Amino acid sequence: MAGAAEVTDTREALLQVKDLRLNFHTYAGEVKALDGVTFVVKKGEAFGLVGESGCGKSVTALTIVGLLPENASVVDGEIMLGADNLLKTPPEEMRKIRANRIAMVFQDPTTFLNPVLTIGEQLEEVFLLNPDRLARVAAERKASEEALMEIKAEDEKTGTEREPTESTRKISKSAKKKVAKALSIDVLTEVRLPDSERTLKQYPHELSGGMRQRCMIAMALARNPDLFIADEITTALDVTIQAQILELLRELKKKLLGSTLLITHDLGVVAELCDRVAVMYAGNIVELATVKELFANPLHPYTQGLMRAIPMIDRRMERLETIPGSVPDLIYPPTGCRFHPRCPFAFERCKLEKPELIHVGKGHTVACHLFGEGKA
Amino acid sequence: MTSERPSSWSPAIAELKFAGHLLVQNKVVLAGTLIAAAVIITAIVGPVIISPDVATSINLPIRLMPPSSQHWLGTDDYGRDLFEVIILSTRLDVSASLTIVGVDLVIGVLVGAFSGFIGGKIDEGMMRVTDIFLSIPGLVLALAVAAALGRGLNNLILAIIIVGWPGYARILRGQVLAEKERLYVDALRALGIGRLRVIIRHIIPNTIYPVLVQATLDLGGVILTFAGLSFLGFGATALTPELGRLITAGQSYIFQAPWLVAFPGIAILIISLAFNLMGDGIRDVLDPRLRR
Amino acid sequence: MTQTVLEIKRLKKWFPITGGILGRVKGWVKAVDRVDLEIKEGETFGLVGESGSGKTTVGRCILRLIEPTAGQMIYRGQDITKLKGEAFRRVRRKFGVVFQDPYASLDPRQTIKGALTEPMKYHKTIGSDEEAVERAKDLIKRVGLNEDHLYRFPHEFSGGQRQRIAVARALTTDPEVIILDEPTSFLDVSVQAQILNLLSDLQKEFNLTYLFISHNLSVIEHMSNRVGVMYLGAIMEAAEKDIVYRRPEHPYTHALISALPIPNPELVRQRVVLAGDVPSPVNIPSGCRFRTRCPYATEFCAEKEPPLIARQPGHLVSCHYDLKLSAPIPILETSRKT
Repeated sequence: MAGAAEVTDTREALLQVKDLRLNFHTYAGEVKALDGVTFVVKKGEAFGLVGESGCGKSVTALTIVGLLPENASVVDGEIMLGADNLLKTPPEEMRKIRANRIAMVFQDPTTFLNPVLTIGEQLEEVFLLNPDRLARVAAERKASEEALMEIKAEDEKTGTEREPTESTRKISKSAKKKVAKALSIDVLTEVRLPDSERTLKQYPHELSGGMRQRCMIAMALARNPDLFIADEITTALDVTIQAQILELLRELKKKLLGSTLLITHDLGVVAELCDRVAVMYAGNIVELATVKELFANPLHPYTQGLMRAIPMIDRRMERLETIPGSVPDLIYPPTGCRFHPRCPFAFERCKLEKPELIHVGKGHTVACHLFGEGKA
Repeated sequence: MTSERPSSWSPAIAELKFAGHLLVQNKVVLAGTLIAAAVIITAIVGPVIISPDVATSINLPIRLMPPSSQHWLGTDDYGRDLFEVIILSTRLDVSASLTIVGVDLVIGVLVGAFSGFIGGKIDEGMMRVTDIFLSIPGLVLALAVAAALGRGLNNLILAIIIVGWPGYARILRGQVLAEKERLYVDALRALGIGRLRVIIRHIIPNTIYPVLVQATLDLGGVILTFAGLSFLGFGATALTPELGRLITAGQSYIFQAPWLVAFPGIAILIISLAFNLMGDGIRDVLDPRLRR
Repeated sequence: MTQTVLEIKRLKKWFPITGGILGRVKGWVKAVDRVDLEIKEGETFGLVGESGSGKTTVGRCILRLIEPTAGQMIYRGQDITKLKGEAFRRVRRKFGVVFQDPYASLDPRQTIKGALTEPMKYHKTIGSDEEAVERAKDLIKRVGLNEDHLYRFPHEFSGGQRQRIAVARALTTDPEVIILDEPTSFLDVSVQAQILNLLSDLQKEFNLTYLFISHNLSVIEHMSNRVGVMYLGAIMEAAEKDIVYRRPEHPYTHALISALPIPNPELVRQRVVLAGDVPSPVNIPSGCRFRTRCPYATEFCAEKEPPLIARQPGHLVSCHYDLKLSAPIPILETSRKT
């Protein structure tokens, strides 16, 4: 794996995925969905994971949060969040991690939000689940004055003197609810939902798609996570609504102290929001670079093919260039490099040996025998 | 170099293969299916091995004899070997049931499909008709129709047929209502393909599974209805080898020769249970996959 | 001068909402409220809009899968709005369709051979069974698949392949116009490119006219000659593609084009972000339907609906004001290396 680690940037790593291999057991056979996925998300950065359907990007995210279906099994690899290997974390601990450190937002807000609870109730739930966290978040977000006054008043009644965070922990449930409500309004305002007080009382079905998406993002923000994973969150939205969400995410990026892992198939979204991006194909990362570098200088034949296949407004073309063939069946994946059957530059070695990610400079890595030692 | 394609098979055959696979795994269902198969074989082969004349060969000296090594199940009040008569009866009972269910299927499917697809007033009218039929308990209605038609085997079969088709029509109509909204139906209409062809060649093959399942479940029940009404005096006449009739005849001798009632009853039980289990199995296996 | 193949005038499709015990009509979903458009022979008309715009409903009306509430549809001078019987069947053959969902548009129990030969046999456009099969083989190869694919079933094919089959099927009746209703929305980018290229090639080969319906602005830009922008059931603007994308005059078009994320990190976007959500087609705003989200709306906009007028020949706009909007996509300084 020499050379695969980031050498240029000195920011600390938040999430390190190392050589992740995962299979699905199906009636038809073993689907080798992830075939040695390796990448690093640094603190404070927006990392894009891009690829077409079936490439394994969503599966990677689900593996990180531990929400895989029953027939999935991790065959090898590590996922390090700070010092913890998430793959070796027991379910109860994982639940806590999902509650506090990682927030994941999905494509379809309707399945994510509980239809029988109001938005306010669901947000409250997130806040009230963990009083310590409530305290921490309240302190970090400087919960509204009113709520803090309540706490102070209660303290005065019982005649105790405390630190603000300690106070929040020990106060009555109703006071906690007030803090939670204040924080909820806070966070809904942050996602630019007009009239947050009103939204608190509404049910998910009363809101439009774009608003539900914002609520999901709000619920993620409420946890103040270290890692925010967004899985195709703009895919199901109309263009104008998508624009709203993209603008929102751009603003939040500046405020969010944590990192974002953005999963999408849309290169336009990547260009707008991400700092670094990894391109996935058939369960492998084939190229990884900063966004500017990737668009200016795509090296992997798949990345090049992908960029040429997209109709782009700023470019005039008669015909789109296509990548011949189709995505391989991962029950019987191609030998060697999984892209070789469709690659215009494939040679003998590509059929035999799977290429490793090699660093080619400026933080740009690519998994292709055309680069690095031993190229044809 | 890359993946192997599975060989081409029609979705129907693929489902049957999968169904068979699952069917074999459930022991009770498997037992029922095997017995049902045995019953059908008996129905076909029985009258060939045992001469039908046995039914009319009255032999009064040996009447009402208990089971023995000569007459495995004893003899009835005409002196007929009960075992042989029962074997002969399976043909009548099984073939009558299959006919009834078969005809009902055809009528029900056609009515349900056209009614559901065309909709409007025709559909409304048809649904009211089926409502009337379905609001009266089947057995009672069959009884009434049979009484109205008069005695005789064919009339009995006709009566049960008349009573049975609305159920299938209803089920199929429900399926068709959903199916006609599917995109491929729009594609066919856009191509200008007429409604008749769409219904027969496309809608019916795609919606018929639940009805087929229901039909196999019904086989067991229809056998009971048929035997039951025969027992009450409709349908078969005195000497006709039919299980219900045998019980009627055996009633009078229930204390002297209980086997005359017991064995035909057990036979009815076995046959209807076997078909029921087979139907259950088919339903369990096919049902979850019917929801596409 | 190219002929007009299809003309749509003041098309309306309203769906009734019934309620109450008596099933009375409580309101209307005005899916299509005012659509006028004209498509010329051999061109691709891109109909673009977001969800709820009614663009799919327009397609279904043209195909007579649903009956228009009002308006006219004229094919080569013939009014096909209410046509029935044999004349209608003949006209239907001139229209083909490719739907959005490749997994639902083919009968799962029918072989590809059956799917392709059935229209030919039904309309008796082909003499014998053998000829029909020959033609099917021809078409399946033309769309990039093999002859032996004819004997397989839809479930054995990928989404992209099924769309190819759908295209082949559309061609079986020798159509002149093909309605493409989001044909690549469910497909991956690389497959989409293949299908779009195929559609372009076929258009040239058979001189086909396309109505390309999509919400994907990049695809519409690539494929279309003229573009119509729909919002809440009506056409807001219609013009040559370059005008729509680079010099639009309707504020909705402007916002729509500027909203598009472009895969170029060097590009700094000044995006117009529309406030709020799309109103429901049950409650269309009075006057100009776009006014609730329009940054330039005035009181007058609430009083009167702006008519769709040709400001220049071929450029139709439905707006009371001549807003002189900026280019929605700034021109690039740096050129991209590929």
